[in-house]
Amino acid sequence: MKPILFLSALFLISCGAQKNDPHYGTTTIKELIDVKGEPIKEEVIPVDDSKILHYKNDEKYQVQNGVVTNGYINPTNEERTLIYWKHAFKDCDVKIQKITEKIVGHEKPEFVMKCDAKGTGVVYTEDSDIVLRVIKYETK
Amino acid sequence: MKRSNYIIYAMGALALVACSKPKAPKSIATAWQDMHLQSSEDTLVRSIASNNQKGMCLSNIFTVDTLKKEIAQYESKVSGRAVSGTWKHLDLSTLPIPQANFLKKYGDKIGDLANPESIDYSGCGDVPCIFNRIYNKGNNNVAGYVHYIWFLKFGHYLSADNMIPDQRSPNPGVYQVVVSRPPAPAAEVYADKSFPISSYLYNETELYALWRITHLLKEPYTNLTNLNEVQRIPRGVENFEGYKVGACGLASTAGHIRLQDGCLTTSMMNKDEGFLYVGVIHEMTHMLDNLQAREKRSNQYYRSYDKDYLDLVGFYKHEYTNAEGKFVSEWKLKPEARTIRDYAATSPVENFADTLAYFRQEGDRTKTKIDDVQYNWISGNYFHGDSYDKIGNRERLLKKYESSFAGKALTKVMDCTASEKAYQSNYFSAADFSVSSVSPWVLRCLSHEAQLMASEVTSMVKIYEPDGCNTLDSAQDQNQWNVLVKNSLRESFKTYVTEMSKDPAYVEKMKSFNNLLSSRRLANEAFFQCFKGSVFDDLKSCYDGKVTRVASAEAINMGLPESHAQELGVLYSNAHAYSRVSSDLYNSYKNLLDANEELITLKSEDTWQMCLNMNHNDDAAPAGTLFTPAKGYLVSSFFNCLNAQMPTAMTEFVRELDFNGQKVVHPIEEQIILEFLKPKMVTLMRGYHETSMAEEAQELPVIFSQDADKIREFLVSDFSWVSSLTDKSSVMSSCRNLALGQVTFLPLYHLKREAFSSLIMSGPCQDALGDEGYKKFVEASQKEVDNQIFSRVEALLEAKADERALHCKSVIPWKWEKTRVTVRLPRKACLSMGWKEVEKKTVEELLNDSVAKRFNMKKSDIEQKVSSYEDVVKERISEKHF
Repeated sequence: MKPILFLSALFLISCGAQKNDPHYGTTTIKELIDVKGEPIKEEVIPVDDSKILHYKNDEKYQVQNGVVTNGYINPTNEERTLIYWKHAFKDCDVKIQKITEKIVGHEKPEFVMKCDAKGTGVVYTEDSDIVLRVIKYETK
Repeated sequence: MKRSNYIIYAMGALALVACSKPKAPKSIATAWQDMHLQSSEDTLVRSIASNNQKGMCLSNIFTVDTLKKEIAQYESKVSGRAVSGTWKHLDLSTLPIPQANFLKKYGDKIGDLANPESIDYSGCGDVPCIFNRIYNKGNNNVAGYVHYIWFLKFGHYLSADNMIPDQRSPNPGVYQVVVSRPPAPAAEVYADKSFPISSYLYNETELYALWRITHLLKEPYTNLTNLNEVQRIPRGVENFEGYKVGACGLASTAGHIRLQDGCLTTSMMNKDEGFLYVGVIHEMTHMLDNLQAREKRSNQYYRSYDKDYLDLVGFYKHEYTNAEGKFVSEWKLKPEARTIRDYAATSPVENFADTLAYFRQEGDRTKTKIDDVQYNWISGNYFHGDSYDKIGNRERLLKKYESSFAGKALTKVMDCTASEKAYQSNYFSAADFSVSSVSPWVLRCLSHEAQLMASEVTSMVKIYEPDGCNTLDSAQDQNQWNVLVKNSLRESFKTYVTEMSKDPAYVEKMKSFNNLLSSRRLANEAFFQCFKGSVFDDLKSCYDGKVTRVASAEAINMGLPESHAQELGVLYSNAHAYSRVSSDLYNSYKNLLDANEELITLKSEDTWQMCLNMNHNDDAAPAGTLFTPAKGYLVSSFFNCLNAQMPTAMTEFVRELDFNGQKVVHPIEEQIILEFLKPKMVTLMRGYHETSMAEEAQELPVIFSQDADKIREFLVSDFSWVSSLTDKSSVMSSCRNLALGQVTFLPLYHLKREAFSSLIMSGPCQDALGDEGYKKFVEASQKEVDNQIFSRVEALLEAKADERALHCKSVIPWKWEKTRVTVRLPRKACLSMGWKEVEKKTVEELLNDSVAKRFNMKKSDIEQKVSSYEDVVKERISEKHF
């Protein structure tokens, strides 16, 4: 009985553990690498003193002047549905921005729905119920 | 019978029971196929081929007669419970089930929707007639049949109406044209324009091409459950709603495809060529791309966004947040990537749609233009390992018809062995058969029969296969084909001749095998054994190996020589090619579901109703991904209930499904049916959601009006919620947030915030800001701000400046040898140099004041006030210290 209880407790602890998310706007690149390890690659972007660090599972972090400013991650499980985020943001002053500047071919434009109070935005396609990407940033 | 004999028989029976392999549960699909696939489409093919005259192609048999026969074959495959209801004068229960299903689903979406009574449908007894009335044609016209065949094949509506999904105008028959296109960034100007119903319909060339497409495409294109209709945009030379003249079309994940003139061009020289084929398949592939992502629930909105495809082609995403804080996301393609055309380089979605479309219609071009790895990947994942370049077509078509040789070849060998008729054919030579028992008479007879079979197969390929005439276009193509056919026939004949010479009982054994050859049982079982969990998985390589092994083993069980068994296994495998077996199996299930649409609706309605009737709240997070509303919202208790209950309802349906007493007992069958059932149920649920959402939207203002006065009173009773004295949008925002909490009604299909925000802002909040109490509150608060903040500015600035002055004095000390001027000026300069910091500290301290925080005072307002004291305070400080 005891080992079962112990294992259950261990399982609960491990499942309830917080993700090692950076504190956007304060976490330094060194702290990020301490937690996430060395990135797979670095990408230069057209923003002053900034770059993108790539990790596995298409996880990316934007760094400016040595500080992590944004995270780009794939949604998992229920996070893939837009309704999940509508519920999560229901008490937020939600802002919706069109991402697609120029429609190429037949694709519907992409939008980002942001909740500044949570420092989170989600990318989805017009008329879709699926979330493509989760963006993290400093809460405002 | 002696007692000892009984014992022996009993032991024998026991041994048989013990030794026999556990039998696979009987499949409902096999039961269905035993009834419906007895007379396969070969009947049609043969009846056409037997009348073939040299040079006829698929386009030559595009007649009402052909289409009627094709419809009869499709309809014969759907039997079950009659559909209840009526459509105008028609009693749906008297119609074939697919026709009744079509009218039930699309009956109110067809024809002239601006003036539905303008078309006289009286006297029409079937769906093709109804379509032909829309076309203003007699019943003997291909149009009505093509529209109906499209539905039979693909399960959605090839539109013949004047209401375009997503059109700007709410009026059918009215579409907007661009009347002015100013330079960007100004928006285009549109104007309504009316079009007659005829301009929304297809011409005969287009209809032929669309019919040909029903023959070009097999599953997964026949399972596009996310597609409701394919709509033609009015023909014409104008710039329509956002689309230029000559634009092709659009596939919307809302469930429709729009086709413009630019998508519908065909070659004048060859009806089997033209952009129409690529254009339409391209749009359908977009739907497939989206459906696969949805069904597999990958992270992506399109399957082509998955990493394997991106890597295959060379796409990668460039994403970042720019200096203005805007998220930027763009596709980039590696420079070395090869694409079918420039358009396919624009994004993974366009690449996927374009490459698959060209792969199917222009195989040779595709083979030369794209990378071999991508070519093979597309073939393996979307076309069952087939390819449609000329070589691929020849191989595929030969394999398809080869199995029909086998049964015939055996009969012909038997006939020729017994025949004494003198034939003159030298199609085969003695060297083709090494067996000494083949006499010259027999050889000529076999030659004659083989030649006839070759000719018949070639005719069938040309006339019935959508790629037939293009594949056998030139003399060289024809020669290469003839060689392949002859080799195949020779091998078939040779095997029988050889085996018959060795074993006199061979013919009888082969007859048993021939019976097996026409049965789907082994093929279906091999398919089930390979099934990996999704109908989107390609099982070809597993299936090909398994079906050959199973059939070989069966041949050995029948007493056929082991040396021949492997060959017979391959023969069975060829007769039951993966593409056909999977397609027929999936069609069996689709037809079973079509025949039980009413039961599906019943189960869906029950589930919806049960979840609707519970008490609702929006507390828990939405859990589940089976059902998600396409638009709007659904409170989490309702959402979670549907996602929890739908699997039970679906399983119940499958367990109740019955075909002539055969239930679903095969576990894999249950999985497959559930996969086909899911989108049907989700679509129904989405329909209920959409209707309920529209009804709720109408009720919301009424519901809100009941609470509005109470909310207004609450707002004006205490203005402590006012968050700013200068920023009206901030005040409105805090007003809305407070008021939302006072709305007691919980909408089920809208987010509370979205449902009531505008009603609150334009109602109680607007009123509250116009209230006397608000004005008084603002005045009083303004005084408080003046007292607490603005009146302190000068003194605080002076105090901070004092500190700076003392600092300046310490760094520039007064000395006797220096004049007062030479000290004073540098000190003043020092004060000016640090003035920004002086002001900054003053502003920060004021902003930290509780009153400033309470009213969210703008930094700029305080900065402005502080700056206004600069000269006075500087002067005073200079006098005081320097």
